[in-house]
Amino acid sequence: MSILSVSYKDLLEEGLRYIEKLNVKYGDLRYQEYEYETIYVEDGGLREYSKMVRRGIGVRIFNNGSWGFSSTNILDINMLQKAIDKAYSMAKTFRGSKDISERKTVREKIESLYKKDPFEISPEEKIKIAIEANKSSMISGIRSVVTRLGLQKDKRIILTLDGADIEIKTTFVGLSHLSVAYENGKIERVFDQKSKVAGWEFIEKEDWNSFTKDLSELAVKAVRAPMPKAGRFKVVADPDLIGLILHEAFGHASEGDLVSSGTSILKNKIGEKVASEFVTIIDEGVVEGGYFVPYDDEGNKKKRTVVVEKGVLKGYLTHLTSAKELGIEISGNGRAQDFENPPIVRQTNFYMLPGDQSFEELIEDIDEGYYLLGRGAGGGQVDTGAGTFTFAVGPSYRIEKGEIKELVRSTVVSGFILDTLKEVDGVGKDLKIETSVFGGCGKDGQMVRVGHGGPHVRIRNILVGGELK
Amino acid sequence: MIDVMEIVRKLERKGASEAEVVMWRNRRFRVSFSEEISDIIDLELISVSLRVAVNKKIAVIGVEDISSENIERKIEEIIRIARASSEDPYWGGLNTVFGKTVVEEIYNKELDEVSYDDVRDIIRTMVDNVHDVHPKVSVSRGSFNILRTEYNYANSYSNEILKRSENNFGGYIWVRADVDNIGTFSDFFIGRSIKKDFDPAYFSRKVAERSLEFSRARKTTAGKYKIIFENSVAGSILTSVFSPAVSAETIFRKRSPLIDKIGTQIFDDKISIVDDGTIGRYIGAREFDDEGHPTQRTILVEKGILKTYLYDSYYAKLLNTRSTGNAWRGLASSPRPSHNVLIFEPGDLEINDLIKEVGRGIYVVRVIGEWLSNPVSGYVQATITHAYEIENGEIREPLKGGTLTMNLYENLKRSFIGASKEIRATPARIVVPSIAVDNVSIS
Repeated sequence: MSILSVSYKDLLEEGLRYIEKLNVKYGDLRYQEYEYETIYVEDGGLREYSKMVRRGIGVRIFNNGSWGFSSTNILDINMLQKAIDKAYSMAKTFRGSKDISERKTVREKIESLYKKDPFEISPEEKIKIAIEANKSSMISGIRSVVTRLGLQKDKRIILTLDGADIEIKTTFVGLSHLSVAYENGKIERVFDQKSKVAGWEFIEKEDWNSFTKDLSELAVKAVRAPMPKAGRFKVVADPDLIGLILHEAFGHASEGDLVSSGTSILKNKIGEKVASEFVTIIDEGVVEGGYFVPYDDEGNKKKRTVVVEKGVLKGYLTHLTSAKELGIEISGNGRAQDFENPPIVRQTNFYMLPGDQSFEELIEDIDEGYYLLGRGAGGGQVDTGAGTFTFAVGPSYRIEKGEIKELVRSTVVSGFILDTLKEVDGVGKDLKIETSVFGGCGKDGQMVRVGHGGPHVRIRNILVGGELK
Repeated sequence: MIDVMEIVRKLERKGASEAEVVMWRNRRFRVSFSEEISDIIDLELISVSLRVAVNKKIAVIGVEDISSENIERKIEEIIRIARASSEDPYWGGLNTVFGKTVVEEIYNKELDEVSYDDVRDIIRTMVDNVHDVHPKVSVSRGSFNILRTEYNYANSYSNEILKRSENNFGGYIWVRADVDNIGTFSDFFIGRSIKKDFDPAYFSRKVAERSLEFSRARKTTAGKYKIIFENSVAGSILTSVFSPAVSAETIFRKRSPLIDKIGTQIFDDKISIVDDGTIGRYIGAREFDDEGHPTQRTILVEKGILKTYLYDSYYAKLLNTRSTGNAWRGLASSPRPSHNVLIFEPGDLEINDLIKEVGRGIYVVRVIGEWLSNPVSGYVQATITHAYEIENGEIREPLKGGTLTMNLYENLKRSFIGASKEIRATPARIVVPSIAVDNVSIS
């Protein structure tokens, strides 16, 4: 077993000096310390108190037009040198013709804001909050309830051969809840969560008992509700849902590695109209309500990237390799799940800018349609090459002649990337961005935390799954 | 190397009434490529999971910082957390039944000997064969992976360390045809032996040919159809909807539509499904489960009748029965019951005969979003990305788009047409034929 005789920063610097001697085009070292706690309560009782602790270093070497990556969680210089040698050997064997962008690098230490360290709070206090929230949701008509309290601390240090020296600490907390309702052979489940890049003060401030009880009440109503009618409808999507639509329908297709490899339907479309003039889409690393990505995992500052401006495609999300391939700026979107994985192009906080319409104005001229809600939705998926996307919708409402009518059950919505955003004909003046400490976005086997959101948005024509009538 | 039994004893000395320790040593080798190789990952990591009960108070800690000082700190911490926790009233104790089932072919030394040069040649073969199909077809993305897992397990009752090792290879390619219109297609490969299980040239040519076909796909028309789900699609739907429903956890927690359905007809009488963790060539097979219990063959559905659920030791004790050897765990969570290898018994028709039997309908070969289906109600929903029209018993035009919906239990009970002879094993630990079903809505 190794004994850490030098501090991790000294170890990284020693590793970097070792990489320098290899005479490679580029190399980086990424140290990560990660702590994650979950308090899992089911049907009124504590099911499990669990904790994960990870620490390790990822090593990346770029040479001969190819990347090599390895990592170690035995933190001594011998094991680090072995990982570096392995990454070097891979880059040497698998020669390629890729290149990386030149850039200006910086040194910075940055930490997300919090008042109370969640890992300093006693287990008893955390358990009490989770159990009370869970019990509050056990109302008549509910069959099963699950509550999870999630707490995360993530510290990353990125040291690169071209001079970047970045340290980022993020504290992140939240609570999730699932209510399952049953009536006359029908079952409906509704899930929701609230998370924030903050400390224990966020958990103390929220009324979790109302949060979970409201979800149970919604599940009980939803189990009695009809399925929506299947077909193409005019809809208003709430900010939770519009964030998901953007993330799936557009965000992935704007990822530079997918664009350069030909896996995105947005390839060669810069300057073209890809959405209606009401649509402006931003990817931004630090924004209220979102996850905290001031720098990416290559040490690039995460810029405020305008992806779509008034319906016209303006840019892609990029990292060192994809920026070079596409001949555009690095946007700071090279992100890795952890020290065991190399950075790939990922979204950070992907959202639509608000417009100027009230909610009433958005629904007033809808004769027949739906007010689609994200609460209770379970995510989505996109085929960026075929241009098809789909995502779940939580219990929602029917709209008739400009008025909100009855609740309908959860369903899915799907469409084609290049069609859907052209159908946006109204954008609300509100804005909400959210993130989750319980999940994130998956790509190439890596999950990273993301944020997404926007205002209420009206879409003239979208395919709603449901019952054929 | 970490001695898991020694840590069990330390946890007991610190105050655990029961303790369980697992160590994984994993090698993950992955080469990502498009037209050429882009990223290569090769790493070996050790992870340790501790679980203790202090009376009926449970805590779990997963550790990837494996310095001896940190392990010592986590031993202290987990006892503190467990003491502070409230009791799990259902706790019946850790697993006490240990053993190894004979599972052949689960570890193949051939994969340890694969060199970087070998992998480079395999990838070159795939890319070249894609080009051979048509000059305007190219590889947009792909990966080739080798995974090796060593698993050491001990608990307060095991007396010795149980050890098992598995390895496999796999990957996918995603191909784009840039002809009059853009066509795409992707497919996966998986197995224990590259030499026996994988022909990279044949595999990549098939994917390329389909990408060309889908460059002329038109949109699917709404309606109610007879559908054939190609085996990989059928597999992912069953994994998302059926597998969670037969877990003893969802049964006990009342989140399954199969509560109180043992002995009743849930599917057509031509359908039988088993869970079998003992067939080594399938991914998911293993000698013992994640709490040391031997794996077995379990009949879940026989001629349409539900026979049993899948248990780990927690739910077996709770429901007064025996574990079926189906415990799966994450690094920082207690084991939970899930399928080892779910096998949907094949039918007696070749796929072309099944297509003839359907006559008119849609042959769905790729979907997205099927995992958004609802295992609590059995409601299936998925968005079609690649399909073919079936007309007069033959495959006709390629199709794309449309959301399909059905209820798994309704449609497989009342509208099941048949299953193909051909089966396929998928990375989701399921072996499944292509399945034909009537009355599926497409919007």
